[in-house]
Amino acid sequence: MTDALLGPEPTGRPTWGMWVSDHPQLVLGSVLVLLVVVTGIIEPRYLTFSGLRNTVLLAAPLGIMAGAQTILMLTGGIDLSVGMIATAAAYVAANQSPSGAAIAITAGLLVGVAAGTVNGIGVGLFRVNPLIMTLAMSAILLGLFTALSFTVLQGSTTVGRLISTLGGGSFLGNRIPYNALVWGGVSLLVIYGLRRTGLGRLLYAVGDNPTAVRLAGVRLWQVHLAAYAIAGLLAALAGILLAGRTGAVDLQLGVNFVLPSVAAAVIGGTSIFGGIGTYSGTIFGALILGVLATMMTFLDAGQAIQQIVYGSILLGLAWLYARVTSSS
Amino acid sequence: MTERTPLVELRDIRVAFGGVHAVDGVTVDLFPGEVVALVGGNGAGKSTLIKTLSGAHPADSGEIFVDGNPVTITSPIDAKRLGIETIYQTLALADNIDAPGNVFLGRELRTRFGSLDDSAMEAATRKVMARLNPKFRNFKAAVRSLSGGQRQSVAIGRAVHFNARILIMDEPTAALGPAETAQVGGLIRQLKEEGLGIFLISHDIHDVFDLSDRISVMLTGKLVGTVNKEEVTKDDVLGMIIMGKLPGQISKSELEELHT
Repeated sequence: MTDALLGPEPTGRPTWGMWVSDHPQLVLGSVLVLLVVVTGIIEPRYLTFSGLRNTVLLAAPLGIMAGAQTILMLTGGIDLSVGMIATAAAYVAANQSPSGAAIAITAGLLVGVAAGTVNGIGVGLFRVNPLIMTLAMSAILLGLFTALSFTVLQGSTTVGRLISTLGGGSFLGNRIPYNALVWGGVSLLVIYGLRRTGLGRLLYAVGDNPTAVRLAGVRLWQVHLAAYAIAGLLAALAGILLAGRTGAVDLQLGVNFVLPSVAAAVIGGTSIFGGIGTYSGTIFGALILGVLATMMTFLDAGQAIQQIVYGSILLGLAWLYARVTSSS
Repeated sequence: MTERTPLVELRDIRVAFGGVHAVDGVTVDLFPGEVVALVGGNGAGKSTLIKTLSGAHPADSGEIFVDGNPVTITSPIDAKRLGIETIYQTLALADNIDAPGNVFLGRELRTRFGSLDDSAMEAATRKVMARLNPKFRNFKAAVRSLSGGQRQSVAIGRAVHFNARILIMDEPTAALGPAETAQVGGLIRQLKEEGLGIFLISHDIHDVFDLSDRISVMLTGKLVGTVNKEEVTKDDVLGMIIMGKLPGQISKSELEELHT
């Protein structure tokens, strides 16, 4: 009998691309440290607790939104409505703030779950393309909340003290932002969920081979529904933290986060084609974008320049990953 | 023939796509410990017929009996509940997940706390692989990195672990080299000895004669006939596949045509 069934041993010497794909966290960590150092050279005051704290403060809501994006990208989907879901959740949370923080936060999160569930029904049951479904959801939410802001939601547009503290406050001598604590908790849950739960495994499997998952007897729509609902919840949480940081809400609150949330996941190595990626990579991605944003603030670059930089990074990385994965 | 109850019987199955009758009133059956080969050219309807049993595409009309009892199969879940497992030509594996993950795909084992019980799944996979393919060792690698034969053993391992009684194999050796094909052949004989009933869909007439007990031939959606392997020659079966004629109905000149 031959050894044919054992399959070929990995052949050839390791390429640069293979090394990168085997040690993604190491590479991302190096890039992060390099960016921090460069920013410190541009502005020496950055390398202090308060300087670094501001980066984390910036990165936390983005990182949570990018968590939503990571979960969906693993299934081969995407959520272009994260920005508007975040805005809508923040709006409702602000409006309910006079009733107390618990009610405000719960109401905001429910808005996110509801919008995410509708996305999931569209994608999972009616097979709407995720790009179209979430783009439409984004437009509908914008229209809806523009109308509501003149009527039902006319009340408070500021958030209560607890939400302000969670979103913008710090502890341990003003060194560690509370939103980093929230982000940390979310990170543990998302990483655990992706690695150690049945749903997590199915998210990866659906992204790689939906037919195999369906033939294995899984109802695909349930997986999509769960993924989009969780993504809606995460986007809503990010929106509430954002509102806490800015103190007040408006309909532009989350719109500039859509592209960066995709960028953070892509920088962290999550494939837009599904099946490949980790949330730990995305955390690095969000931190890298946070440092970049700080750096551009020091360089006095406006929002316009930042968007151009994000777009360019995204294109550059998409090209790079395509090269790396095709050569290995 | 004895009056045993067939393990599974498909009776007068019809499936149409638009106006095309992909399967047109086909009846086949399968006994425990038996391999029935389904053969026919491209578009003969073998895969469509078998999809009505695996739940991948329900029949428009017709009846399915398991152990003599009428059953309704409208999804892969229904089929699995009845002990019907399918090995697809495309293998239907999630390439980014390891062998135990694929064996238990959609039926993951959980710990008391609800998290994935990876060690239990690996142990069960090792156990089933020890039976099927003792040389299999890559339990931690994504199945993308495995050879065709190894991937095939993972797909079969999935069926065997869940105590399949009826196994459907759709071109199980189409993507394999000669040594791996021999291995899969050995597997089929072993499963047959254990009392499973196997529907084998194949293009390869040699495989069919090597492995099957009976041969059901389809042509353009209809059943040409079912024959005992021992009673026919390869030429007889080729005549059925190509001309749709039973052994004995083929004239000498037609037989010569087959060989040109």
